Amino acid sequence: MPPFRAAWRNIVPFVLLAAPVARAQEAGETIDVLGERPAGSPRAPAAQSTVIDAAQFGGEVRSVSEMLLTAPGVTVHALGGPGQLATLSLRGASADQSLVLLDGIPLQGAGGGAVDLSLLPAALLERMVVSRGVLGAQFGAGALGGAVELLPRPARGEASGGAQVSGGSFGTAQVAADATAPVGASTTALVAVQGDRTAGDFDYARQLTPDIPGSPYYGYTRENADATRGSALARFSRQLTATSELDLLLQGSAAERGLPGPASAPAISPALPREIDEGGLAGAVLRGSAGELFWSARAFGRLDRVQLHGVEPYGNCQDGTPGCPRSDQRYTISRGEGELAAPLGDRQWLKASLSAGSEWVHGTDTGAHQRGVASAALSDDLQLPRNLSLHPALRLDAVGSDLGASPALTASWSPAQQSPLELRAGWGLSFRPPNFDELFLSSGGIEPNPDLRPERAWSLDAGAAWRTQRLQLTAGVFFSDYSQLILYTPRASANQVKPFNIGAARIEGLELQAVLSLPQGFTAESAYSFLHAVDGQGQDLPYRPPHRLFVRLARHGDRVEGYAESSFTSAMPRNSFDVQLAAQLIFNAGLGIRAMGPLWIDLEAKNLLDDQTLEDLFQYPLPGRSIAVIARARL
Amino acid sequence: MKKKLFFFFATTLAACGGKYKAPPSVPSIAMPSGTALMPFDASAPGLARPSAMDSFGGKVFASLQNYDASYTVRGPGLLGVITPVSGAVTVDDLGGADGSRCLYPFVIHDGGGKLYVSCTGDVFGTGNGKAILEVDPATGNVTRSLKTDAGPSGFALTSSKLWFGDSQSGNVYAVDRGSFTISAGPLPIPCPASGFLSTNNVILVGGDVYATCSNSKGGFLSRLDAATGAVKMQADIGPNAAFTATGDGRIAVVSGTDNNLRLVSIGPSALTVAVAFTYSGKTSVLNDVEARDNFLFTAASGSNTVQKLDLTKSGAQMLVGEANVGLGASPYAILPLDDDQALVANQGANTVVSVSSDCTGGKLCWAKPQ
Repeated sequence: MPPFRAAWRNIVPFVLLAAPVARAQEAGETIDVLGERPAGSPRAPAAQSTVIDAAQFGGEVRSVSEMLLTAPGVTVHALGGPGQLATLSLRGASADQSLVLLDGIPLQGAGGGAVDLSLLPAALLERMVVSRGVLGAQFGAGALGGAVELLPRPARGEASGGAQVSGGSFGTAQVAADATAPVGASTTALVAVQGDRTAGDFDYARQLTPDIPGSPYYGYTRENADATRGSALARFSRQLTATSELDLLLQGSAAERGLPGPASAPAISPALPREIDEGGLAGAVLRGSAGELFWSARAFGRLDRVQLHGVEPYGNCQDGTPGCPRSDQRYTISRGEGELAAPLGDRQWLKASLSAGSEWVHGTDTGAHQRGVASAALSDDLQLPRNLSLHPALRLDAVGSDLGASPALTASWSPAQQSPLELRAGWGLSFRPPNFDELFLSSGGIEPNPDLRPERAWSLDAGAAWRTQRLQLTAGVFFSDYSQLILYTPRASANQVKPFNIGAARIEGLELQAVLSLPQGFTAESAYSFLHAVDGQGQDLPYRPPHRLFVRLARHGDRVEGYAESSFTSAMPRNSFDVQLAAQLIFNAGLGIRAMGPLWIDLEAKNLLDDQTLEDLFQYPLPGRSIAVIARARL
Repeated sequence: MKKKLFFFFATTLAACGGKYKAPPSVPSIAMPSGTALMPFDASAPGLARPSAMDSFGGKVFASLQNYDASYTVRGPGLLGVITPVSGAVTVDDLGGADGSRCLYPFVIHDGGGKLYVSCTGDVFGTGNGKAILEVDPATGNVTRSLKTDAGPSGFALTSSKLWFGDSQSGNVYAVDRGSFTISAGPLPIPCPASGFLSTNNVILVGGDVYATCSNSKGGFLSRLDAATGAVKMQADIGPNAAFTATGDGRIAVVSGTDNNLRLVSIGPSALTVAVAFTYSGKTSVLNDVEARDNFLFTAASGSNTVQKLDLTKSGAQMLVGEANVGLGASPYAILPLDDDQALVANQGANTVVSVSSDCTGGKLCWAKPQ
């Protein structure tokens, strides 16, 4: 049987970006204000969560993936170096089961599946909230591992702006700028742009005869791994009346990259496949209050498009030559949502929401399909005596002909109102409907399966947090049970895979995080994740590292800043039969000074040990040491 | 993918009291391309995609699957007839009058002076081209053919029957060698509980038929009665298994998924399976295993590597040598010509290359443990 080179992973489209508004749903900015809100997402109170402030990485070149990896429970599955495909896994769930939302809008690839994190412009974000667990009741169908909320820079406040320019190894450069200014008496506007480029031509090393102990490594240079991306975001916020406001958001991006292939079968000139991604989104939200009633109405639409040139399942071809395929896939969603929130007595806060819309796919390899989506959700924040809070929630989602209910119950308790100690627990049940790619994609060795049913999962977790001004400690354990998982199953004698609802999994784990504020502007933080993930036969799930540890010491001051960090990812199974991908240990460090006025100059080095033998999924090599110089200023 | 020693060579060896040494092969032999592959559409030829190999009468026969980079079958199934010492390659057309009698040829097996070729058919397209062919190796002519509903994989020949497995189910069938018609089957064999079922191969050892049914979830080796096909014994041999008979009466199985080489001892009442060697985690997609005297030769298409192992040793000591056949080469099958030299069919590179201990002149050779 010839090897199946998993070309469908390349075919999976990606793009995204966009985002409507929804300031009422930004972390820490809630309209439900009973009691003290635990740190995390207002949409998922008492869920295990981590808030990542993008500002803490000022003076560093950070992708969205790299920032997310500082949180416990996060794994990123990537295909190599900068600018290449990267997808999110929360608590060992698949990328399709880990929702990513931009300002509350679910983001997907061009087949309705997982979004490519590498296409997200980190410089346009203000912070990220990682909520873990089966959270379909809070975020909608699909959030079986959890959800990441990306919160773009807000349009509010005085006139301000900033810019950052960086350049470094492998022809990597980035430019980002943003500006906010009042427009008239009641409107504020934000415009932000980011451009990235990398040649991606890093050196890496491989053993040619890995079964021979101590066999030598040979050096190679990555080819066709360049990537270019441009992104822009605009927000407008207008106060309409004393009790209502309108937010508009526009976002768009365009990217192109080479697809270098795995180290065992790299793309070789002149057959150099390319991927072109384009995406855009427009959204509007109108919100206000009437007495104790809070209301909001939102509408948004998004278009994602991916084109693949010269990509074939088994070997590539030279774009433009006869018979060399070009695929083009577009995915569109539009939706309207309405939400009401009102107190019920003095200890309850009820929220109800309705949404409806549609999604379409049109592609060379999928054909044209459309399906309706609708949801109805009800949640309650109930403040009980003795500082006990309960958060029951129920959401019904209809996606095409798939209809499912997602109930959840979370709870938190503190010994006293101002106590640093908080205990929390949660339970959730939800489902994920099959996406368009799984239902209809027919390409090369991939067969569609229109008869797929939704995946289902439930989870139970519990944890504790200790929060003081100087120290934050969180610890949590969880158990998740998955059934009806959609797995691409290969034919043993043919180069063919087809998805079936045959999978089951049990995932349990431990998540720890500590953040300590030290004198002289220093902050120390650490995150640890333990995962034990097995399938229905008790065999390990591939690419779920049992141990991940992240340690960082950073200083932010008036004149000098810097950081040193290390991440360790334990060896992990490459398949369900204990064939292992080697452990990885990476050190990064940076140092910066305020050169003059608001201008900072930083120098950053990643993979300081220059380990050129690191590999990502499917034998995609990772870069060795890289150096970057960053200049930034904020007014 | 079963290979045999030539009786001639065996008797020669016995007479000379030494091991047979095959003449050196051309280091790399390009498989036919373009119009030589007899494309259905001259403007869209496929690639040779050499699959299984067998040696017979001093020549090597390679099944050429003739599909393109999107797995679209672009022409009839072909036999590449290779003269290793010169690198000469000719092509025998298995497609018949309409070109679709045999598509996607899979396994070649010699027996009774004939070659038997399984054609698994165009599974992505029409589904046509499933067949078993009997080929005269001297002329390249198809002497008999049998169109099948199943997609045949490997063969086991007895005096009266030709057993074959269905690559698309967990069944075996028997063909009456006299009438060349199906005389038994489908007969189910033990298979993994889930996933696509595939009877990967069938071989004859000690008068019994052995068949594997495996996929990415697991695999079983079954011992079948050669007359009736009844299952006599079974053993768990790991996922995505390829297997061959060794020279010492055992069966060697490599798993393309768990990276283990297992040796199966055949007892009177049970098959005993032991993991004999575990490949590196960087070795991936072990496709083929072949035996020659005390040695095993394996091919791993995902890591572009081939290995030679010594059956008289144990554990890590078994590894005699390893070679990397090149980025993107995708070695699919290996054919030992003697105890040292092996030919490797590269489906990605569309070449057949030689690996031996001779490293002179940049030849591809075994890297050996220190």
